[in-house]
Amino acid sequence: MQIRIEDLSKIYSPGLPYETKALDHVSFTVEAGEFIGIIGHTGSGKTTLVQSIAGLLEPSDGRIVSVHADGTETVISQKGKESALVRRKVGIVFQYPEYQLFEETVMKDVCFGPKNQGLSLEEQKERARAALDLVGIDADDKGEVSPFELSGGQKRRVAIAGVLAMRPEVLILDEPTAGLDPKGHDDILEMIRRIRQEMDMSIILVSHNMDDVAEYADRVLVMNHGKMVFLGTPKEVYCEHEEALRAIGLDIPSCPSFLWQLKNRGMDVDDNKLEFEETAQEIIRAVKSRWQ
Amino acid sequence: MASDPMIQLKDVRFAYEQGEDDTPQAAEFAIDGVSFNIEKGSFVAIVGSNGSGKSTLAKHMNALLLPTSGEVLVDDLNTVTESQTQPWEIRKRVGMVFQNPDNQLVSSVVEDDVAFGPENIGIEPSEIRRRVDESLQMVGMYEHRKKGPHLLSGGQKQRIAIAGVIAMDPECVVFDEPTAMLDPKGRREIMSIIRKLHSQGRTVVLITHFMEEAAEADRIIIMEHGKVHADGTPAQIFSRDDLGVLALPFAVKMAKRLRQSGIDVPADIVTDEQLADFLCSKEQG
Repeated sequence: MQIRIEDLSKIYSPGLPYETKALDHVSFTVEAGEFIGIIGHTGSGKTTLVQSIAGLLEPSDGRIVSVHADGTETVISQKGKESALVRRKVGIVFQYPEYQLFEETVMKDVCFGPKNQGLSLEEQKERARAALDLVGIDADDKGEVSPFELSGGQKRRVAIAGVLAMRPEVLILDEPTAGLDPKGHDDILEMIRRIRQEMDMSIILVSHNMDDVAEYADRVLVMNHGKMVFLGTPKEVYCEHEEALRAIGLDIPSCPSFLWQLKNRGMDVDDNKLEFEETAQEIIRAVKSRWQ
Repeated sequence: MASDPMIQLKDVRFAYEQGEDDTPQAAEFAIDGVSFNIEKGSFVAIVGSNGSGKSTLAKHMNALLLPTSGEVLVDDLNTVTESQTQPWEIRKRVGMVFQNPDNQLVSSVVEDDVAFGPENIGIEPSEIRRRVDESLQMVGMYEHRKKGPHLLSGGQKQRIAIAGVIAMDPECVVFDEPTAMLDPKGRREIMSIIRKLHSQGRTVVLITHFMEEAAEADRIIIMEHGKVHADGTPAQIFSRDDLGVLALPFAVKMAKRLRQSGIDVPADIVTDEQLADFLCSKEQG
């Protein structure tokens, strides 16, 4: 399923003194199976954008359309329209999702979404097992355990399983690695990669970690003051718009950032590199050519 | 160098829950036999995976937790005996900044929040005023002094929490993952305040998951399963091959890679800045 965001705007407290334009005419398309990374400051509109896509906020203007494999289109979110449909197709994992666990057992917690979708108990359990399996939690071992007895990283994975069990076609994750240690961080990203492959979902990842976005995303979307300022492959965004990103105050991934430092000190290097090995090769070339 | 310890940990063990007969099993110790000193004026980073005991250890440094066995001395004061008689003597010396600023702010006006600590230890009102203004200026939040903390961003709130600690004028500040919930801009701001505090001569203890942050310290301690796994300068720590899941800073990884191709990067290079300096000075050679 393709999702088309058309001229989406969101104004908080319209007509009041603190009227804020949180989203300002944003348009883009999430292709079926695509992995999009969204970056931007706190307050740039990232969260408003993903919550609108997930149907949790009513747009002030514009609409969201889903395009099915056969080419037919459905408007899933628009001002004044109930958005239950969008919530069925788009799943969202909030920041620190482990705080939303509430059931007595892991199994019940993961079943909660499918239960609300009106599925039979059998189907709920089948979905929950499959979702737990995807996030790397053994349902036989942990299914009957209280979610509050799990480690921080495990709780987070159970919370993500709860969203996966609803079988969304687009999965949005808002800062899914915040607060985790380096291993927990890598585990979650590998898990997202696996989910995308096995369930053929589109993924939208909101992240402050530029290295993660550079490594995992097909395209990067940059938000600033409610506007979409750039959308392109990691290389296009980070390498061609480096100066502009710095001006906004955003980080650059480690490799181009380091090459840029060298360039600023007068070394003749090409800073259009994103991968570690190609960056190393470029530094070696530059340093050795100066030595001779 | 004469040793002048700010904090001394002597065979510290700590268990969150004690068994029926008050004798915890070895596996239940969150801190399991830790001994080291933190020298006055030093900048020490403590790293380790979730559950390694680093936060538990930090809370021993200002008597928020007391050891189950062993002892903790803060400026030669024993935390167990002092906390019964005068806990403020410990907390005046060691301030603590936590991960989530929302849990640390108590007042509805920024400057009142910063004044809260000094008021509680009976500082003169004029001196409180001076300390509040000075600490808000130091963290760059003076212009926001009349605002409500709820109107500020996460990074700004964290700066207010730090100002509240600085207003107590502690010799030592312990930061427990202060940047974990912040965006990159917020992280940079907090790190620059930490550097400033250290350059003022204060002792800084920084608990973090970000190895780039740890690389800025004088010394890194790695915790694992409640024990000290490694202790040394950043250069010593990053050259070890038993770091397991801890991610090396970019500069250390790149230095290793460059050495394989015959570029002789010295082992004490651990930050991007140092590596860039080295590579560019090499050009003239």
